[in-house]
Amino acid sequence: MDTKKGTVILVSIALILAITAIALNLTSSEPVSTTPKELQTNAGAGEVGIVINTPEGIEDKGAEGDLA
Amino acid sequence: MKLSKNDMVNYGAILVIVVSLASIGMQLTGFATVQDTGIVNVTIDSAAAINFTIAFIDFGNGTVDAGPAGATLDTEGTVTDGNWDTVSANLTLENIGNENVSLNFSSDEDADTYLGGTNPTFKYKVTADESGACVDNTASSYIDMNTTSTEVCTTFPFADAMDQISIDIELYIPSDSFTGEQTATITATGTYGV
Repeated sequence: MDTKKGTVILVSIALILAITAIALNLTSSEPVSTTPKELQTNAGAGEVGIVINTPEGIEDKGAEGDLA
Repeated sequence: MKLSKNDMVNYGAILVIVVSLASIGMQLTGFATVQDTGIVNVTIDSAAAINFTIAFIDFGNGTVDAGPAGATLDTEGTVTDGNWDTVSANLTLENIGNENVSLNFSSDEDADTYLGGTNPTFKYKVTADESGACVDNTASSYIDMNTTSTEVCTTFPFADAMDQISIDIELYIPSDSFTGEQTATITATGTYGV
């Protein structure tokens, strides 16, 4: 009876250790992130400049107004 | 010597215990062999960074010719029905980060607020200076510049061989446009997921 009891204890310990060893092996795998991706941005600016003169033969009403 | 069934189970359990302990020991201590290694650890942060290497286009002074409804200018050397000097330079944008980004453009002005008058246009065109620099280019021919953000490249890579694009500008200036100095600021935004 005692022998059987000892065997059960031994097998239980063996099972626990085996499961622990397998679990440790699995947890040493590369972690995979499950969090959603966060967006990051960076911006730059360019400029387009132009000087538009009043077409010939057209009165510059703005200038006229200034003179008035 | 004859082993009983019990003995065999016991030996099997002992074997499992020994193997498991060895495995656990290797996991916890890292000592699996006599080989030793040195580790050089470096962390490189990822960053989205884009930069206009040519950030200003100046069409200079000019007038719409008398007679035509308007003048057309672009950064590819075209000046039609106006007396502006030709411009053959374009805006140039480079991905200087270490992440591929998606690329959007917007402007603080659209054609109506930038040029005014009857049916003005303010358009842009994106050209990959290096093959593969603008994946899924939605502005491969001239499209209207908007104040709302528009995606032009699903991928603007950071790899040196494909990280630069050019942005050409085309303007149609009606004869009844605003006069004086007009400036529009174009914002390029690169976005990536972390």
